[in-house]
Parts: sequence; C-alpha cells; structure tokens
Amino acid sequence: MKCEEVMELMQRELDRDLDDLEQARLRQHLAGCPECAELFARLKRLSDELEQLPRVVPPYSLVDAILPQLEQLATDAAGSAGAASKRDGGESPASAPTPSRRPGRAVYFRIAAAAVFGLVIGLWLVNESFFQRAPSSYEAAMPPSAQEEFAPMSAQSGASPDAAEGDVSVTAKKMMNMTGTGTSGSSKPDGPGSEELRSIRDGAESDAQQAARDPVAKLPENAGEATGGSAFGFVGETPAFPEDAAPGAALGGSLEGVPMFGKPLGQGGAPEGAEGEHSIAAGPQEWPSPDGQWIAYVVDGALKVADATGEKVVFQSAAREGTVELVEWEESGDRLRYVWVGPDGIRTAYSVDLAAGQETLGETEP
Amino acid sequence: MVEPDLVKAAQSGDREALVKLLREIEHQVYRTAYYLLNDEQDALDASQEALIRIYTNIGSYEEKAKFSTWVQRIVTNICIDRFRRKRPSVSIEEHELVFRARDDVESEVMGSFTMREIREAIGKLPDHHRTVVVLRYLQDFSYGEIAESLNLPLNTVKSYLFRARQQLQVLLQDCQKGGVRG
Repeated sequence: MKCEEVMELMQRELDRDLDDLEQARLRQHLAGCPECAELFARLKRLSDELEQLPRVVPPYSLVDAILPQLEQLATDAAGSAGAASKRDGGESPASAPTPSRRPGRAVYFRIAAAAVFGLVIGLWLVNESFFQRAPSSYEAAMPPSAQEEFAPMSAQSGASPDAAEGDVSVTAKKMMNMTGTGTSGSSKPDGPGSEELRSIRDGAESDAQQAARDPVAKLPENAGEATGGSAFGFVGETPAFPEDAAPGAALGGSLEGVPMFGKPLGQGGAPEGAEGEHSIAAGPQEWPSPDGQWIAYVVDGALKVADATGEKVVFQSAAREGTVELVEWEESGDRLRYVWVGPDGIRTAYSVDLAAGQETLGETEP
Repeated sequence: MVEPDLVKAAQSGDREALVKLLREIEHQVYRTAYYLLNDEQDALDASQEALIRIYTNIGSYEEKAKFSTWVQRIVTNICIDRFRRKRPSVSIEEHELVFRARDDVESEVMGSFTMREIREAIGKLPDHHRTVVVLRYLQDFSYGEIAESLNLPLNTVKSYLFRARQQLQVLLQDCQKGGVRG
C-alpha cells in the first residue's frame, strides 16, 4: 500500500471510522514506514489536543438575556395574529407579562442610571475607607478576610438607608457586587477582571429589565438571581465560611433583619425595606431552592447542599480552586446546575442530582 | 440530548417549552460560536442571535433532520456571516489585543500546545475547514451529522476535516518555531 493511500486510513482512524481489517492494514503499514508512523503520531497528538479543548460556557444565561426580546416577538406575533390568540394562552407570568405592564426603554434607562450612580457612590465610599467604621454584628460573624470583601456593601447600606425602590436596589446590589470584582481586578486591567465586568454588566442589565418588568411579583426570584450573581464578586476571593460553622449561622440565620433560608426575600414588604437588608442578604453565597427546602452554598472550595436548617448536608462536590457562578435550581428543587470557574478562567458546567447525591459534568452535552 | 417531546411541544406553540428548549441548547450554541469567532463578546452576540432565530423559526424544523444538527446549522451560518463580514476590517493589532487580554486564561498548556495556540491556529483555517473542525471536536459530531449541519456531501466533509487537520498541524509546528505569532 502506498503512503498516499494510508493517509486516508490515518485520518479516519482519528475519527474512529476504521473497521478491523482497515485497522490491521494501517498498523501493518505504519510498522514498516517510519515516516508515516511519525506523521500519524503527530496527527494523533493534534487530534487528542483538539478533543481536550475546554467546553466553554457563557458567563451568564443567554436565554435570560434575550427573554425581553422573545417576549416582544411573542407580543408582536400575538398582535399580528389578532388579540384572541389561543396559542399564547398558557404563558407563564414569568416569561410573558401582559404588554401593559411592561415599562418602556425610558424606565430601563432610569434604572440603569440609578445602578451606575450606586456603583460610583460605592467606589467613592471604598476609596474613602468608609468600611473602617466599627464592624456590625454581621461583619463580626464573617472571617476577617471576608470582612474586607463585604465592606463595600456594608458601606453602601450605611450610606443610603432610605433607599426604598425594591427593583432598583436589586440592580444596585448587583452593581455593588461588581464593585467588589472591579476593585479586586483593578490591578490587572487586561485580565479576566475586565471581562467579568463586561459579563456582569450584561447580566445586571438583564436583571434590571426583569425587575422592572414586574417589580413586586418577581422580587423573590430576582433576589435569588442577584444572590447568585454575587458569586462574581465574592466566592473566589473570600475563603467562604469556616467548615465548623453551620451554614444557618454563617449565612445570616442569626442576624437581625436578614431573611431566613427558604423565605423569599420579597416577603415582609421587601420592596419597602431598607436597602441594607438586601445588601446583607446578598453577601453570602447561598442559593435556596425554589421550594425553600434546600440551600446550596460554598465552603472550602466545595459546593454543598443542605436542608433549610443547614444541619443535614445532602450533597457535597469535590473541593476545587475557583469560583461558583450561575447556580440555577430546577423548579422541582431536586436538581441544580452551576458553573465552576477555575483559577485559569475556564468555566465548567455541572448538574447535581440530589436524589442520587451525585453531580455530572456538562449538563448540556449532546 | 434534547428530548423530542420537548421539541414537539415547542413547535406546537407551548412557549414555556420553547424557552426551556433554548435553555437546554444555549451552551452548545455558545461553544460553537466561541470557537468559530475566537472572541467572547462576538460569541455572546452571535449565540443570542442564533437563539432568537431558533425561537422564531422553530416551526420550520422538520424531524427528518436531527434537532442538534438543525441548531448547529443556524449558529454556524450566523458565525460564518459574521466572520466574513468582520474579517477585512479586523487588523492584526486588534487580534493581538484580544489574545493579550486573555493571556492568562489561554496560556494553559494543553499537551505540547497552549489553548491559545490551538485556537489561533483554528482561526487561521478557511471558513468551512474551521467549521468542520469545531463541529467534530466541540460538538462531537460524526461525519454524517456534520454533513447534515452544513448541507455538504459526506466526502466533502471528510476532505475538509482531513485537510484541516493537516493544516493545523503545519500551523502549530510553525507556531512552535515562532512563525504564527511573528
């Protein structure tokens, strides 16, 4: 067999497309032809490396980001098909509020402006070392290194205790999370820090739109998202909570004014509540399940899931270096997905099955 | 693997099912866009455009094709359009800027090459060769699935893939000698 003919066999072998006979012919040729053997070794190495390319995932949910557009498309379609469209009759309120409740772009702009204002104030306060005031009971409950990271939020809550707009505060809170990231990343402006900021900017925009769309009814969900978003600012840079501290205590269960696990943040008139409450609640990295039965949180580099009291841990991932982002519970509350961002910036998606007590890699793999 | 029932529900006008379907495929869509466009922000934009197109055109999907290949056809078409439009206007300096900004992420050594070197080499391939490589290695598609996605004959797919691997090998060898970046 000529070397040119072997080339196709080599290539197909890389794609596991050879039958036994063809494999034998290839092996026979390679054994007697060092040049082809060397070429095949190089191609095999290349193919192996291509197979190892990271399964990158987006820094935020793309579907969440386009939901307003999808909604608009649905509204337009319904409009053109006539008001009595049956097709969209079963829409959930979360994905399709009635058009009359949807604020215009001007409202989004005002919210974005408020968020940017909050960010600027937050940065200014950090620069003014505002956080050197006496630690609150909340800060005292945190590990010392974590206090520094949370300080900007405390400063913000102290500076604007009267902030009352629930939807805006959620956005502002998200922006404050950015402050944490931006500050820590400022030493390497070209590094992932700036990229994260961009990602978060987009995420915050989407949150702002969602919050604006339905500020009252959607608040618990938005609050949850914002809590998830706080992972950007804190998970990787703080050592999380001490192993021996029960999550219930560490995550604010013992703190005045902080909502308990499983209780939607919107309860008790959250939109009217002081922004400080929101900011504190958003600080720790915990993600309650929609039914309030479970809480996911990060301790010592491992994602854990415990019952609402924090006493019974039902799942624990391997400890890894990096940060957790985009924790999403399924509505049933028996599965959650999350993205682990390694120290090299590579994102890996995991899916946790609570019933099985196991996690699997890349839940969207074909 | 997307459940066929979910696709059917989405096609029948169940909007909740359609949004759930989009959530299930968004990572696959993004991954292809990321490796085809070589830039995170472009990939995010292209992925969102693809998801919206899938949303509006779900009715035109026919079961004779695999859903995953139909999705990949949409995202690859969008990406090919984008990089054809963008290519003449992007200077080498801008490319360098993107790669420098991601240096610490991409300096990860994979075998003998860094991820950055491999991605840079993939980015130098002709459009169709690049697309075939991405579908083969990032979507784990077979020759047949790639052919279905790109509407190409099977032999053409093989020919593109084989040539792409040879080109990549040469590019990476050059890269190790300092040729690609120099």
